[in-house]
Amino acid sequence: MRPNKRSLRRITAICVILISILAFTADATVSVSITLFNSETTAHESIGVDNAKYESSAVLLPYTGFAEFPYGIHSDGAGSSTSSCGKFSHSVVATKSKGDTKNVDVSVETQSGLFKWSKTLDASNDVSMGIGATSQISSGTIDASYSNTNSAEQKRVSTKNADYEDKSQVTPDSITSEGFGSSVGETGNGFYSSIEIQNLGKTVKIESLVDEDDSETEGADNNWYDGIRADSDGSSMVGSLSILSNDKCELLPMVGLSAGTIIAGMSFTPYYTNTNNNIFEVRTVPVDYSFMSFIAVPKPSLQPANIKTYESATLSMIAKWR
Amino acid sequence: MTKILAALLVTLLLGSVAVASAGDTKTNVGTFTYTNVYFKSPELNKDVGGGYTVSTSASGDDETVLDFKTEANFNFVDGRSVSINTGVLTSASGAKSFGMVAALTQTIPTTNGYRISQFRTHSSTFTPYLFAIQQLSGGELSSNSAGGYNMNTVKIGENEYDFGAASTLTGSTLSDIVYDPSISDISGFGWENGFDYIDSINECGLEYTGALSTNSILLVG
Repeated sequence: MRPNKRSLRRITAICVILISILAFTADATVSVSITLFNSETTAHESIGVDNAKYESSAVLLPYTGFAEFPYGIHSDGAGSSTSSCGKFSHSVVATKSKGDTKNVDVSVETQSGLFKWSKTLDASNDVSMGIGATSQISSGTIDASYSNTNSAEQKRVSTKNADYEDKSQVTPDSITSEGFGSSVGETGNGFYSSIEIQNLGKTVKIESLVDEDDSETEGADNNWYDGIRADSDGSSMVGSLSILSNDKCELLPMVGLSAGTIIAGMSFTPYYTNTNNNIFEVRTVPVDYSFMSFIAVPKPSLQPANIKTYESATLSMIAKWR
Repeated sequence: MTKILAALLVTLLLGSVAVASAGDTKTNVGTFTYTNVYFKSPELNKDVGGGYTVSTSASGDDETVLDFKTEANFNFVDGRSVSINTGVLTSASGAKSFGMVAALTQTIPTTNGYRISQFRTHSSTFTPYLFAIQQLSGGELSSNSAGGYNMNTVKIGENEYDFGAASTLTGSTLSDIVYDPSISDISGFGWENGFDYIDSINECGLEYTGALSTNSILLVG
């Protein structure tokens, strides 16, 4: 004999309270594993945090449609860093009774930065899940990896007198991420970025570098962007960086073997994921495998006051594959 | 046979001069030319080619006239790549703004797909006053290098002002911009100019494009 709806809702509410978790740390590492299962789905979560906190709640029902709920398992969670140096790793695996398994995995570590993330999980006739993460650094480092059953992304960004923010979303079917960076210092700005993505049997890596000597009295500005999308339909990867003059300095080109106080370059490495054999040779911008080189000098004092000049150089790479 | 065909094409192109003009238009005039040349590489049996496009436009309050001449040389190197050298001379009068985009393109087939390199230059000039402008721009593109230049003379009334920019053949440096300081007399004058070197590969189902773009802006307050 089935209990009535009012009784069922009471039972459900009790379940919510019982399976809520809270992990809060201060300069310590904490990990927790959770397994939720009913007659349709088994969902397993693993969370590890270091200088970060995470809180999650779940509703577990016997089956989809029980007490008119549209799901059998529902869970939300969110976490954030509690220190400028912290990390988290979070994986979710869900298997339907008929055998389909889906998973998402995210890990982020920052030095001189902050991060936050959230997770959703809904299991009904199908399973939907996702982890979204946002991380920021200021003259720091991000090491991040995002993956699902079919694709993976690894990102490492280090900045010098520059800020960077990464926003990523991982579902069982897709990985999307975007990053924006910009210089904040007068001089000595720079960054290094390495972003690698595996999907559909191919792996592509874009590395980008801007390095400005901090001995100059005037410096140029720089900003950069990266964008990733990987799903079963294909992949796209975009990277770009710009060096810009400003009100105080102009950019002068350096020709020949002279090394300027600012260098910039990008490289593109494509290879087959299984064999590590190159799809084609490493490509660079500039194309001659050298760094772009120039100097930033104060605006000329003889320049008429009503004349303004601005110079910029932009390096970019785009890749697509199916 | 290929060499003969190539020589014929080069001869034809060397002799070709496209001229177009437009008048009686109060707002916008423009000209456009597009040339592509392909031939088959003996060992690949795929089209090797090169081409160029040039587009210019001018606008003014009254009568704007734009004249346009272009010339290009194609050299086929070892039967597998193309070296292109082109020059464009453009004159406009009665204009308040003038713009130009020119591109050189080289297409090289490979066993796994094809590769394309492209060099582009663009320029845009505007003033609050009617002006006449003569612009000489050009570029070179070969298998692994590209570069170009863009020189302008603007005439307003009896006064002439020169400005221009050039990029090196490696395409790896900023454009070197030069201008006559007396241009500071033209309040509201503006000039934007840039070069792009684009390297594209489409092989084994992977499309890649790398680009280096430089840009300069000159504004007179």
